[in-house]
Amino acid sequence: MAAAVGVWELLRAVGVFPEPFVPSFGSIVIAAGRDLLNGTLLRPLATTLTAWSLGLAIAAGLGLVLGAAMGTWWWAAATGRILVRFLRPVPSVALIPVAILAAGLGLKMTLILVVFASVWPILINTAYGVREVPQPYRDTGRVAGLSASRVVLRVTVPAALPAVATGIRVSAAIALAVTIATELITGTGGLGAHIQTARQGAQFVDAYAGILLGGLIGHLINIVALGLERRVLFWSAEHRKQRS
Amino acid sequence: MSTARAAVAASAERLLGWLAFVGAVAAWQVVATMGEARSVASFGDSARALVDILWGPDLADHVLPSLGRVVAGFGVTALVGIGFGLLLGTFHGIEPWVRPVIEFLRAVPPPLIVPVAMMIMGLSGNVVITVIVFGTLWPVLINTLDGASRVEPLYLDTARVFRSPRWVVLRSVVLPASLPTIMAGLRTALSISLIMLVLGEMLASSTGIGYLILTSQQTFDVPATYGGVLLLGLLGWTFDTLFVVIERRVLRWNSEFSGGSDV
Repeated sequence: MAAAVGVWELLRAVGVFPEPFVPSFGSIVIAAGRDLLNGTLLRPLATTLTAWSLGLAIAAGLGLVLGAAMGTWWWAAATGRILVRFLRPVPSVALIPVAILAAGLGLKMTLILVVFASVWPILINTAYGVREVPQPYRDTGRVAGLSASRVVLRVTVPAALPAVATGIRVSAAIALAVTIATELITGTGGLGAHIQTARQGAQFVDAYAGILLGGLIGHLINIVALGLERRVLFWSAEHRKQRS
Repeated sequence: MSTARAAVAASAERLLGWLAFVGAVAAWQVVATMGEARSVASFGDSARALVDILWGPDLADHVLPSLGRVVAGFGVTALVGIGFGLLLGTFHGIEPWVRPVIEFLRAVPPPLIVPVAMMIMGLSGNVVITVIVFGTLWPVLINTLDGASRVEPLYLDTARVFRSPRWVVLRSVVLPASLPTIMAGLRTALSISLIMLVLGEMLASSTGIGYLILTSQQTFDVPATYGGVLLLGLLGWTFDTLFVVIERRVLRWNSEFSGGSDV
């Protein structure tokens, strides 16, 4: 990490980076700290994280329900597959103008975009996870006297959980990226809009401070999601060892 | 008997899938005709606008520049990502130094690259290609690195026994052995490249499909906005389909590869 900062400063010293547009790393960190303390960065950060978490929660709900249906019933899988094939390749940011037209500027617009972009990994991984639960597991549950709904709760859900966790981790990163992209383009609050305003007002240090914070948030979300995933994967890895 | 039944089941599945597709288009049409023309264009109008884009001056002004940028950006990513990834993966000394930096850069939300590129490059250089490269490089780099550092030691030992020069080992042993992971990284990069293209064109360009749909929306040309989105969806679908076809060809020799299917 220190080496990367060194490269940044070296490129600055050599003059590859033009001075006013590329401030020193130290001044960016100081600006980030100052803007966090006096609140100018805190409010945009809160806006971004609100849109991110709400969008991700809705995507998770939708993805889990639809994915579980696609993993359980063949007709649901057949119906969904073609729609996924056509909808998923649509680049989410291309829908920003459409979302503005449909919902007007605001949180609703951001949420539509975040949900559209981040639902796919959860949906696909859930469908896959549920479908791949070995039939003997479920049969064992039935034989042991569990009711059908109990089998779903006690057998299918835990067995599919690792795949679902991976989907949610991927989706969390996508949701943050789309939230920030939407804010950059539409200027409707949040970190993205904050960065754009600072850049357009030639407050370059403030813009970089926002970018640094966004990068750190992205990293933090990734670390937390990986940690959660490892906790869920822990027993499945054990299972794998027993099977082989 | 059972194969016949399987064939019937497969065609039933396909039929249901296309019915769902037709149903979705029909639902879109109904919503559009019932809703306000200011916010939703019907499927028919969108398709007509798409044809107008492809058969008018927009093709040369916006569509072709976009295609050129994706090809250039993705090409640079493939070359640099695979090249550096193979080198880093074979020289084990550097890897622990570089990996944390790459992992950090990969976790940075890619859209944040656009304002950085705009501040450093101004509007002089080709900001759009730059943001495509820096948005897509990390998955390719990481996947190549992972693939190259997990090559079966037996293959490397065999090459050593035959005293193959280092670059021959790279080209004929390490590259093919890590190709499945490289292809997976490239597929991710391809879908990100389209997103970065649109984002870059919306923020830092006055040409391209991204610019076209944003200005269409701002001038309330609703059908053109939807037509442009349709075009981008079509491009995404075409790129991904082509990629899967190429992937199958490239990896046909690999017995562990079961096909890049999803769902």
